[in-house]
Amino acid sequence: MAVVGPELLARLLDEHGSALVLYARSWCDTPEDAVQDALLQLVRQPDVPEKLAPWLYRVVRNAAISQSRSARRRRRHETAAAGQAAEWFVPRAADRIDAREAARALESLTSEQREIIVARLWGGLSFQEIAEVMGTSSSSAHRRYEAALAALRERLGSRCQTNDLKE
Amino acid sequence: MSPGGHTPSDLQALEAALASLAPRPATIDRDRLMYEAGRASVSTVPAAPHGRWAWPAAFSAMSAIAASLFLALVLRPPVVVERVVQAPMVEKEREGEEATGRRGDEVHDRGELPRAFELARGGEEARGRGGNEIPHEEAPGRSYLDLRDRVLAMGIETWQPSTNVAVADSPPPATYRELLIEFGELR
Repeated sequence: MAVVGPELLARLLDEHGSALVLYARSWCDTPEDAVQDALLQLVRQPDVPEKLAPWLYRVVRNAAISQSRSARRRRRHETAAAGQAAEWFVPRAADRIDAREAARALESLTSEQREIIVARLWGGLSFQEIAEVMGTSSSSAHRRYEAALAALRERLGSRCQTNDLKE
Repeated sequence: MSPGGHTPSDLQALEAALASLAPRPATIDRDRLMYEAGRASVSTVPAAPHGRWAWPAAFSAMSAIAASLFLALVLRPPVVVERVVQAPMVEKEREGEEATGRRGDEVHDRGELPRAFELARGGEEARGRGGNEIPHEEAPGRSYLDLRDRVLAMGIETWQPSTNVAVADSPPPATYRELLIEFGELR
C-alpha cells in the first residue's frame, strides 16, 4: 500500500505544480510529463521523503534532463521554446514587471542560472535545498543566484527601473 | 512567495518583482494523474525492513567465504598419499621354505593370513604329485571357499586351478559316435 494518498498528491499538485512545470521548462519541452512522472514516482515510494519539496525538484530535474537528452528533441525544444516563452507566466495587471519580458530574460540565462532562479523564487527552496538538488554547496548556490539576478537586471534594465520608479 | 535570504539590496527590488509573477498553471490532467497514481500504488511492493542491507550483507558474507576457501586452497601444504600395496608373496614364500627345508605344517604358526599360502602350496603339492590328488583338508564343499579366500587375500594372479591339471590327464570325453556305439544304436 502506497503511503502517498490522493489527498497529498492533489495538495502537492496545487502547491508545487506550476512551479515544478516552470522548473522543468529549463530542460524539456514537455515539462508536464516530467512533473507527472515525478509525482508517480513519489507514489511508488515506500516512505514519504523527509524533505518533500527538494525531493520533488530533484526528481523533476532528472526526469526533465532525461527527456531532453535526445538531440532531436532538444532542437525541437529550442524552436518551440522561443514561441512558448511568453507563456511561462500569467500576465496580470498587478505585476511589477512585464511577464513576457521577464520570461524572455529568463530564457536568455543559462540553464543553471535559470534553474536556481526558478527554484528560489517560485519553488521557495532554501539555498541549502537548492545545493542538495544541484549537487553543489550552499554558498556556491547563493553566488550563482546573485549572478543570475544581476544578469536578469542587466537584461531587463530600463524596464525594471521604470517599474521601480512607478512604485 | 517571499524570497528572503541575504540578497544584496540593489537586487532585492528585482527579486521581489520577479517573485510577484505567477507561473502559468500546470496543465496536468488531474484525473489521469490520479488514475495513474492508483495503478502505481497497486503495483508498488513495500520494501522489506531488511531489504536495504540484506543483499549487501549476503554478498559480503559469500565473498568472504569464497576468499577464505581460495586462500585455504592455495596455501595448504602438499598432501602425500601413502598407499600400501600388497604384492603376492607365494613364490618367495615357497622358495624360502624350500631353502630352509620347512614343511607346510610350520605355516600354521604365522596366523590366519597364511591360510591362503597354505592353500596355494597345497595346489602346488597336488600338481607335483601328479595332479590327480586333492589334499585331504580340501573337502569338495570347501574348495570354492578356500579358493575365494586365497584370491581375496593375494589377488587373482595366485589363482592356479589344480583342476586343469587333473582334466589334462583324464581321458578325453566320448564323442557322439562312440556314445551311439556304446548304447547300441550304431553298429
